[in-house]
Amino acid sequence: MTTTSTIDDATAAPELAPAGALASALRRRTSRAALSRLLPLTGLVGLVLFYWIAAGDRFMSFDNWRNLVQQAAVVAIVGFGLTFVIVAGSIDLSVGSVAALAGMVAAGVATPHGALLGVLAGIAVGGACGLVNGFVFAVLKVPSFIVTLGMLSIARGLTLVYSHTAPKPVFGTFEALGGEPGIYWVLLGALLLAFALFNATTFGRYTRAIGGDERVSRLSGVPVTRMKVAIFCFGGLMAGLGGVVLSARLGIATPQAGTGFELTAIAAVVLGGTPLTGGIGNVWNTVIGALIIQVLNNGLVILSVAPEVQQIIQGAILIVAVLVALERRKIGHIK
Amino acid sequence: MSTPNRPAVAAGGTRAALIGRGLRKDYPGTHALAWAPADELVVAAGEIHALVGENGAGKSTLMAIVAGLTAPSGGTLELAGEPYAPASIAEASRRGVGIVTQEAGLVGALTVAENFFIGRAAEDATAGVVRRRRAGAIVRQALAGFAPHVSPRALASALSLEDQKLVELARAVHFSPRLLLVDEMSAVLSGPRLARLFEVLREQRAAGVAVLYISHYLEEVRELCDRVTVLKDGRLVTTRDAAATSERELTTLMVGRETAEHLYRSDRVAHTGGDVVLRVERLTRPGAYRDVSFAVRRGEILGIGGLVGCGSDPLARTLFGALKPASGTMELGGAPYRPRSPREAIARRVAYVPPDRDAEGLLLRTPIAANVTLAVLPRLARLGLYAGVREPRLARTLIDELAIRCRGAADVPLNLSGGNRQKVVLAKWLLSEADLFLLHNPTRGIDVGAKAELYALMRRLAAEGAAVVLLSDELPELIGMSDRILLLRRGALAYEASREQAPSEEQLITHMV
Repeated sequence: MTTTSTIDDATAAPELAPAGALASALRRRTSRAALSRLLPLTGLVGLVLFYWIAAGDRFMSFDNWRNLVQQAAVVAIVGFGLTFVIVAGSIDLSVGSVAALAGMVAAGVATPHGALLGVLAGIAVGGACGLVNGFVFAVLKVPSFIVTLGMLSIARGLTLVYSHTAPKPVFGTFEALGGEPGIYWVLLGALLLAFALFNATTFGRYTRAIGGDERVSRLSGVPVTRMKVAIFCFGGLMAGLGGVVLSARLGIATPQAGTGFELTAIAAVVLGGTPLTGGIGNVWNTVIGALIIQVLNNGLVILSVAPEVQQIIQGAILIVAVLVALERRKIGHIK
Repeated sequence: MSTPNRPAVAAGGTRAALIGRGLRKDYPGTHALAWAPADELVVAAGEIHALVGENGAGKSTLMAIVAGLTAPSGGTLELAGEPYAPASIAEASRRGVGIVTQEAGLVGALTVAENFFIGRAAEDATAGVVRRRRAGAIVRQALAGFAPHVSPRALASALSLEDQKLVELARAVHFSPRLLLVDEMSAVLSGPRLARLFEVLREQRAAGVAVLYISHYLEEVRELCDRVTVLKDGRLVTTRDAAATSERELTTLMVGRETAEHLYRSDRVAHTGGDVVLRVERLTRPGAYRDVSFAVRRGEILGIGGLVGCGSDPLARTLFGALKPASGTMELGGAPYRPRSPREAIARRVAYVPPDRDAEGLLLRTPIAANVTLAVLPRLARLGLYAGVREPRLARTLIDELAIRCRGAADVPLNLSGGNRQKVVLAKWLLSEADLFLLHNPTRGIDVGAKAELYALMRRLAAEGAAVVLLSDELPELIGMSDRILLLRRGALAYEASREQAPSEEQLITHMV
């Protein structure tokens, strides 16, 4: 009887407690969970209201919002893939570089071979990078932080090599992907795909299980190693798609595209309510998170806040948002 | 049932080093220690005092409380006449309590010298700066009488378990404790090292140190110790003079109890006539088990027991595909069985309930509905698609069938008590419709009511034609539920008995130690 876990000790609902105490304890627990789920959406609404009051029509105009959503779209698309990686308990720091590589390859292939092949090539390149990430992480057991940190540099280097450090323009159908209504269709399609994958497939179930507890998952028949490779591959595919859309939107693929993007994407996932510790989260959260970031930036620019100050505010918001939503008891040790 | 504890006069010294009164340690739904308020454990200065009892009797819990690892839920402790309630091992150590634990007590990534002074700044540093050479010299001298071949600069993880324990002993002794706790050291030492251990303990006794010694080996207890205290089911039974009490008497004190037979099975017939479901031949894994062969049949409950470290845990994991044997064969349903992962084992209709449900059996923060379907998702999904439409209904059926007390299929196991969590684990495996169930300590830390329900479930599974392997630390459970019992000792099969032979606990223990 000496090895009952301490989790049991600290948190199990005592069956013998008087009904009143139990009921209020349950109520406290549910409202806390509900609070942390609604927080991102509330935050977004609050931000919008704030800027509306502070900047009026400059903020709430159709043009502004069009721009905003398009910028958020790229973050969101990449974020969808990243959501799976984070819910599974890992991290992917290479998404920015992979997006740049994908965009560059897409542009390079599209010019001689047409838009469709170009887009497919870009996405495939993203998937290949993800596959490598996943393999080195899951099979060779190098921590995901390190693998993807390495891939960040490698993919960036490959982009420079492939492009001979020169940008590549994109035209025609390809470019349409980045404009209206192309970009909305891509965003919607990616959202539906990611949503379905997360909620209606064994892939999504297993992702959440692995993030919940890897040992338990393995002992319950989850093919953990295979799943990890697949999750990173998916992350890479979405990063690839994001990179393609980004170069389409800009009309040009540059070797510097997406620099620092990974941090924005990670922030989008986290601000949307998906904890970095894994196990819980949803794709919809990432949409809200991407919007929060874009709205925040957009509003700061409209209000003519200096760029340096913008950076400080962005960083502070990220910390505060996670701080408020964090349930400290659930985390064994925070690194 | 506990008799009032009246300690005999201590040999050697009469000053009490440690007094524990009315100690309790509760966990939700169960208890690890439950002494009566008048129950008293007195360890005198200058005596070697043994602590004996079965697995689960409370020995390690008591050690953990005295060493500062955990706090008691009730009762008091006195160390050398002063109230004693350490908040941590470091504080216990400063108060003069040294401990050599059953598990690893050294930090693998640090050197022997660094491990020596963990939690104690003084000797190896000046104003926070570590003086490596001075520390090395001190440690070398401390190790001289225990493990002179070990270098202070060696990494703890590079030492054998035996050497690690010797280092821990040297460390505990070095800081001149007034109370020395030794938990199951003889299990890892052999020959001359063991003799040296006894020598050291006798030296400590002569120096006036109080030694509290846990061991399963009763002849050793009688040879080495002055007095012995028996714990049973978390209760303090009695304290006796070691030399004046025979091994047989000690065994009876340890295990004699009114068997709650109604909990288990009412029949005395062994169901061993069915087809063979699992056949294991000469299964070997160095360091875990060797040459293990047995068969399990339909409708049979095969009990496997043994002391901690006997090999039952790695054996169970091997049968489930979580570990690979080095040699030997397995056959499931007549066909070769060599699972490369639990996933393959599950596909072959094998189920495994692990001993630590919170760490290995459940996703604590995931809804019950998602937990119970996890192992059978491949069967429920179609081409990888699984929207979980049937899931809430499946979960509710299982919740009703197993009488799981929860707030519904969307509730998470974190909110449930131990017994109900275990039921969720079992629900998961029931859904898998397995032919072979491997249940490892399925009723550990569970209240009596839930236990009765789990036993009924086990009987039902066997009656419906499954083969059940019950690996358990609890002897009454093994005897009460099994059609056949196998005992493992140090990795090898040591004993077999059938239900009709009606082995007693005493008989089992003699083959386990």
